Amino acid sequence: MSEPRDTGLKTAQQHAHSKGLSIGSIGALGAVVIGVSTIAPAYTLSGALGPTASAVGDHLPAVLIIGFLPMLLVALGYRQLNRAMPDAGTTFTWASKSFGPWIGWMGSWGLLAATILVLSNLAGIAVDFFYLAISQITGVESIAELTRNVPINVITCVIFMAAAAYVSYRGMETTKTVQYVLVSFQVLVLLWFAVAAFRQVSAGSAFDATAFSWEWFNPFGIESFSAFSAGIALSVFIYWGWDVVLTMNEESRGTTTTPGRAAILTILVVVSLYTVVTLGALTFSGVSDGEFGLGNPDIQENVFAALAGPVMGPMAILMSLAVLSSSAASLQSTMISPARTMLAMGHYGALNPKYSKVSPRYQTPAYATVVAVVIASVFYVVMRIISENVLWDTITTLGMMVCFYYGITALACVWYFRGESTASFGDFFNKLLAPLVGGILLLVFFFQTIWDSMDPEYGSGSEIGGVGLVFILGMLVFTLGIAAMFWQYHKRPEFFRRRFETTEFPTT
Amino acid sequence: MAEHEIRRVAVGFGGDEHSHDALALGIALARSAGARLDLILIIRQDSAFKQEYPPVGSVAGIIAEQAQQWVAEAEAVIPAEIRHHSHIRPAGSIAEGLVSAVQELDSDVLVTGSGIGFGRIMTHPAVTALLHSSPVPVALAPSGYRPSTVITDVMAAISPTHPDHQVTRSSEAWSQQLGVGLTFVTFEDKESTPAKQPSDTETTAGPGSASQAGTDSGASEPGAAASAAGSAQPQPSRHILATGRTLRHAVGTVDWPPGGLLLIGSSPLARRRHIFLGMTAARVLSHLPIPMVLLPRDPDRSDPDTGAPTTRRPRRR
Repeated sequence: MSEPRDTGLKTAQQHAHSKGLSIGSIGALGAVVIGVSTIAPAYTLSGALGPTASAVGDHLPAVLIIGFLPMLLVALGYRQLNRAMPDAGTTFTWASKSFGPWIGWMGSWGLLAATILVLSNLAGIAVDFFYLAISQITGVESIAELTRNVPINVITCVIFMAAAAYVSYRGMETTKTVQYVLVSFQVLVLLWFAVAAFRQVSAGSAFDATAFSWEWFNPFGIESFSAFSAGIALSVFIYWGWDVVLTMNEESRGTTTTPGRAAILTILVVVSLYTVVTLGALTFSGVSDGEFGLGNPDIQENVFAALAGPVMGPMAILMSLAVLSSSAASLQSTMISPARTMLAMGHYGALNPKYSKVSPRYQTPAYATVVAVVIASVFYVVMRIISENVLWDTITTLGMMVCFYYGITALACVWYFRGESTASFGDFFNKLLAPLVGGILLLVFFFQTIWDSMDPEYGSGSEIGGVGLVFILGMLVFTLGIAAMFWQYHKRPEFFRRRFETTEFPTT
Repeated sequence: MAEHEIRRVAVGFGGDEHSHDALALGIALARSAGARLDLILIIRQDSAFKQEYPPVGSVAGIIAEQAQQWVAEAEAVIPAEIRHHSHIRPAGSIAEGLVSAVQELDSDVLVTGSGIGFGRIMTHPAVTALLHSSPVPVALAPSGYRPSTVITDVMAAISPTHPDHQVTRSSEAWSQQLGVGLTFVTFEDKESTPAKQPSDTETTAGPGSASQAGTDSGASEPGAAASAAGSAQPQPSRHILATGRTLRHAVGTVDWPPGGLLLIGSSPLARRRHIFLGMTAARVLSHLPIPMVLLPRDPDRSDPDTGAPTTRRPRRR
């Protein structure tokens, strides 16, 4: 005599589409904190500032500001898609729905590759700062050098990743307080870095005091389109993750702030923070290839590790802690991304159903998490052994992958909404113009970067057989992706043959 | 004693093996008490402050779908004669969701799995949280509990210093409603009672013979208190003195009936009407082969000292 289930089920399903946020609980400040936490500024700047400087020289501020635009345009489309098809698969679901299963599968592969790459890069940066922090605390300088010892580095890194995977499998909560503390700490330390750099410049004690020039903000001063697109691809990575503020605000109705205001505030905070820190680093170090110059290949893949000491003096330990906490927190939250994407793909039949298994104990995608961490670890170990500049090369490849899957997502938005994008000016802008321009730009930068990366001198200068390592990495990722896709087609042809269906909501 | 009556049994269910233990105990309890069974599955929601990097979509929909499957599996196990409802609801954490669900459903006891009985204490964070916050009694099912188990004994862990404790009254009500015998158990370990007199109780209840010897020798005192409190009680109550070198040994000396339930009180640290697992209860729990029911702190009693059963101090004669 089982009685019918109560409406709790319905509530659960409704909540499924509201991303689980308690409606009305997040104000503008909360949204900014979340937005800043998702881009992990201390980590991203440390990893990406050097490679970007090497591409565009002192036009760094220009690229950081311009680079935000395609990202913003794509994010507007992303938000529309998220309203129409709120789903774990994101790019996978949207591209499959718009362009069919093949393109959906490859778009998703791009996203997966990017998350795996960022996982290994994050863990790599964390290892550097881990030993640096210990050496700063103990005063034993040789400890900082341990990170250059390949076996030690690799073992530490794998331990970090395993720990992060365990935390993400357990599904532990990051509380509001923790997030506020982490974000304010990072922002304060970064500002401190910038201010300390300016003070040293004015005191004449900077390494290579470079006078501020408005020319730095002129994107047309960049020597070539190749350099420009390389810079943009990297800045896309720098801002990657920020767009969560846009989709999140869909759910935070009932707050006193209008959703738009929180998003704009976040943009302003993020862009100004990055600009100020970049200006600090530029004026202090210049772009020469001297010891602390931003053009020095030896420090470029992890600039704060090298610059924090000379700029901040004994307080450099704070920078180590900021980057360490930022990358540790991100490592854990990054583990969730590929696992969830694989969960969604398994759920839709695009991968082995094993991937769609949810651990009953912790309600997390257990199998997918393990696969993600194993792939990321193997990738890191292989890369660390074959390349001296593993962090740099992964960042560059990463920027390329983000451009690829964001570009596909943006075009999916244009195609999906093609029937309704002329209903009003707002629709026209958000569903057609912005994502179209943003998507095309990102794909142009993607192809330009691929083309340029064939040059063995590209990026860090790592090469195999006269071909740039970044190009090889990129091609390897796509070849593997296509091979994996055909393998899935062989094993699970239904997904590729039937029409892709998902729950859709009206957005007008 | 209407306030102690079991009318609605809630089971916190999650699809894992411990959840099946919980379901089994829930079924056994609901059957014996003629109560209604509520199956509650909490879907954990992400906090907005835990954004994944880079952003991907929410998997809540997929998990909700999986949850329906788990609930269906559970419903297949519930015998037809037991009235039951299933509830799937989202919450920030499992414990939080279960607490608000049992409050809303007006449940009289919340059953969860625990993996107890193998020297381990609870491993699931939600269970740990519940044992320190639940507003209703929490029943912990040991691993491998069978749904066909018939409840044959209500046992109550009491301390001799407070024989007229809430545990006494709750256990009397339970045994009356379930129509089974009532046994009082007093735990005593030699380690945490430093100022003891060696000759005294050891002779009455040495390891091994504790259960029987205890029954005979100790039946007088608290049993008398109990029968004074509830004179309409049909079943005669017994009293067991469980003694051992450590609490673990003490627990081991008792011949726990497979159909038994052990009721135990909260620590004095508990907020009124909430439960809080005391030290003794935690140590007993980790070695107990039968279900333990942790009771919230008594709302009626003003005496703050009537908390967890303390280990028994040797009596002076």
